[in-house]
Amino acid sequence: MDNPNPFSLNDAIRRWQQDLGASPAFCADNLEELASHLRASAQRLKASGLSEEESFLIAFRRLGGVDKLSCEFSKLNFGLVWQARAFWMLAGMLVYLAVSALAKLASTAIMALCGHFVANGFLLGWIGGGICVSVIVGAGLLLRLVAAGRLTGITFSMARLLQRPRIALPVLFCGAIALKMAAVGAEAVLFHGLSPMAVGQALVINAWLNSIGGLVIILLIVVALTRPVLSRHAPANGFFIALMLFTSGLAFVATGCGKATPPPAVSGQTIAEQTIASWKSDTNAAVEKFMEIDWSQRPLFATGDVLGYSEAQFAAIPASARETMSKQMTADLQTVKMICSAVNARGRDALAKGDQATAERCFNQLKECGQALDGPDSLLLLKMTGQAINKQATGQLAALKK
Amino acid sequence: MLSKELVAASTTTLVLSILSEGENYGYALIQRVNELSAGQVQWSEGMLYPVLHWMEKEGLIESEWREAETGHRRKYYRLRKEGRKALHAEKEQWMTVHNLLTKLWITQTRLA
Repeated sequence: MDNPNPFSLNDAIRRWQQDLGASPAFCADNLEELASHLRASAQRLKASGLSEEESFLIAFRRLGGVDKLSCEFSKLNFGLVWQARAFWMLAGMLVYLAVSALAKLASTAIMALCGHFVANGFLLGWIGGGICVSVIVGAGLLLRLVAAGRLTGITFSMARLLQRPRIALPVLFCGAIALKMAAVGAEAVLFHGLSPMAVGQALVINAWLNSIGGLVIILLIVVALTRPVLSRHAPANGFFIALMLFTSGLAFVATGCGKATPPPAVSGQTIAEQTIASWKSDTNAAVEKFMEIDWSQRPLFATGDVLGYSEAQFAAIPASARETMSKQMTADLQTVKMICSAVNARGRDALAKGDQATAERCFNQLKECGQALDGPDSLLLLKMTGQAINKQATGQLAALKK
Repeated sequence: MLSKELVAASTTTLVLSILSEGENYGYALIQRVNELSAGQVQWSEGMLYPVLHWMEKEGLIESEWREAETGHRRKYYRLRKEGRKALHAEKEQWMTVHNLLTKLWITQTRLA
């Protein structure tokens, strides 16, 4: 019976060379010399009466396994070995950069799309953050499948690309930079025309979840890499896992604190906000409303209103949204000042007419307003405005009592 | 059989000595040592090449790829001037040890 796959010494040597070539310890010259050794050794054994396959197997065994050879050669070629290590580190870094930029791009697009239907920044942030985390984790799983050889086509082309660091690194670099730039550009273009407050809040939450997504994937990699080590040292398992969970929890909290989430959602506008809003259409109505505000009520300004932000929250607003936010804040503050001077004028009018009670009510309301605006968590500009209003009203009240 | 340590210590000297007979390639060096020692000195085959490359880097030997009579390419090694000098020094040292041990053992045999 004919063997359908006759043994070929040349093919066997070529396959063996490919196996060795996967290790960075050998240069092309080493591989050729070892192959020539294997051939000479096998030919001599064959001359003593062994079959071609038997002679190859014995010659292969005498030369030593891939592990032992690569260990010996890596002492000689340690420059090559380190080059390979540096390449893999750089490649990993670039892949991570590309994946997180992709996550940012995807979440920006989805948030911008949803932003036309949902005005709630909090919800938008969670939608975008969810997309971010899923893209990062999905990319990790995809890479895992590629590495396991499940997606033959991609695995093959990836392996070919990674065998050529001089092509692979620039390709990865350009890919990562392009994605990064696309993500930054998309943020500026796609959010145009959406409510800056909602966008600002959404971006803060999104950035927070994005860093958690990154942490999750790093944690998964650490677990995947240390699993064989952990199972060999069973008693250390609990300690390692606890340590990892503790550090990631710490990082989770630390990133969250750094971002300073905006104030919690309150449905509808507060009276203070309604007062500011009504100034444009009807100044008298605004003054009437102002007189009815209970200044001890909190929050003075509902979610998303920039006047309700603390300094830390304002600092956390992404650069893309900051300009519109500060413009709005200046406009709102201007309105507050105008309403207050209108109320002040009304008080003085009442005083001129001899209506002391109305005048006192006006100045008291102004004083309370000033004190409320000068709250411990208020923005600096709001505090200063509040102090000025308070000072003026206190002066008026003192004059009134004389 | 020679101990692992002694094999490692003598490899360079043996390579220099065989190459002083004329240029040769890796597999033939191993064969020559096997034949001359009647199997007493056994080099692990993979180990020889890192040693050869190190010796080349040190300037003791030089190499050249050439086509052999079989039609396949082989890497031939030959001694350089520095290699000859090194071999000379090695020879003196090994002879010192050899003479010392011989003298000791002859005296001991006489006493025994």
